[in-house]
Formats: sequence, structure tokens, C-alpha cells
Amino acid sequence: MSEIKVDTLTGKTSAGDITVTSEGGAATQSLQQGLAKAWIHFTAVSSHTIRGSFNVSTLLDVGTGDSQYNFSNNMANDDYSTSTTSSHNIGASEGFISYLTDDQSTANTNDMRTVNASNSSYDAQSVHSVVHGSLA
Amino acid sequence: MAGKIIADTLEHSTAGSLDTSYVVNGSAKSWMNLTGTGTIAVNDSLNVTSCTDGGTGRYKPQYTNSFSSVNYTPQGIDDNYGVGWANAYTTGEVQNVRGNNSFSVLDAGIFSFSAHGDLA
Repeated sequence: MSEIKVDTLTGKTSAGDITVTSEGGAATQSLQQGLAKAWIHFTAVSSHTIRGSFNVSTLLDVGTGDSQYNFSNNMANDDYSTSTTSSHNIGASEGFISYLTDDQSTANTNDMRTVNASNSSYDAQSVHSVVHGSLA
Repeated sequence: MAGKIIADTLEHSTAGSLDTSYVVNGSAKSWMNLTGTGTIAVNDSLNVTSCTDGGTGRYKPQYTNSFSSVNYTPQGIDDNYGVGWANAYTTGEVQNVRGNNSFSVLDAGIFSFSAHGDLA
């Protein structure tokens, strides 16, 4: 088994492009492009609290069912990809739906809403969000 | 000539170590940010060669490099209701359908997509 001890990985030909080989060996892909650039798990009930995160500096309670987090290191633009799920307390009868508020998401801020099945805004017990794209 | 390192583990001086299988298996194999109204447009993406407009609320990204099986995990969210599902799986593409809270299909202003799994 081999092991590399290193603090920084930098591409040789292009600093921001390190290639990894696919599981099946038939393709190669950019390591940097495939890595999640931010993730967060927070609760929005009572007060907004970050339970875990990466590359997130602050979390804001914008309003009922409206949450916004800021990146520590900004994205290159607002064309990044976000995946988000949300939930109520275990045992609650109603699940929550998450959606993006694209007009308020920027290179340094990601904004999302949570609603119930009736499309009424609700603060979710847990919100999980992952971002892929290019950092600035 | 670019260098090549074969390693099973990466270790940071202070932040811990990581089995490189997590780098390969844990990285997104595809992601996409798409404008879904009018003439659809891929704003930015990884491993997406094109995206087909399958009709109202239906977006089918084709992968540049295919997955090894259909057992991968596509995920999506949009700026309408955030309701959607994926169907018509193949290793080379997946159809994503977006809807409202009554499950009626409608176009998304922005559709955000990612997929994890094993590439061929």
C-alpha cells in the first residue's frame, strides 16, 4: 500500500487540473471539477444553526423557510450546481420540499427555500445542501 | 509531460488522511447548471456533452464518459417547487422531470443536477 503525505495538490501542466482515472479505467476526469466545493447541514427551527459544513462562513435566517449561506471561498460565478434536501422531525407526518431561489444566489451566496406539500413556507428541522462547480 | 502518482492514501500534515478511493468514488462524476425555459442552455457542467429538451419540464443530460452501470445516483433541484424525479436511466444519460407540488410537470427556470457513481 502506498501513501502520500502532502498538504497541497497542484496540477503540473495546469495548476487547477489534476486528472483521475475512472473506476472502470475507460475514462479520465478532472479531480477538481468532481469535488464538492461546499456542503452544509443545518437546522432552521427556532434559530438557524450549522451542524456541519465545509467552505461555509455564515448562515443567515432570511425569513420563514428562507435560508442563505455564504461561502468562505467564493465560486467563480453563479452557474454552479446545488443539490438540497430537507426534512421535518422524525415521526412528523409531513415532509418538506426544498427549492432554489436562483435570483438571490450569487458567486458568494446560496439561497434556498423550504415549503410543505401545500407550498407554504416552513422552517425545516434539517437542511442538507451540496455544491459542485468552479471556485474563483 | 504530466506526472503521474499512484497512491492509496493522501495525508495532510494537520487535517488528517484520506483513502484515495474516497477521492475517486466520492467525487461527482457529473454536474450541470441549466436554464430550463425557452431554448434550454447548459450554463456550466462537468461530463455533460449535451442536454436534450424532452418537452415541458424534461431535461436529459448526455454524459461525455458513461457510467459503468445504471446504479448511479442522479440528484436535482430547481428554482420552482424543487419537486422532481429521474427516469429513463441508461449509463449514458438520464431524463430528469421537474414538477410542482401537485406533481404537474413544468419547466424550471434553473435546473441544478449532479450524479455520483462509478464511471465505465
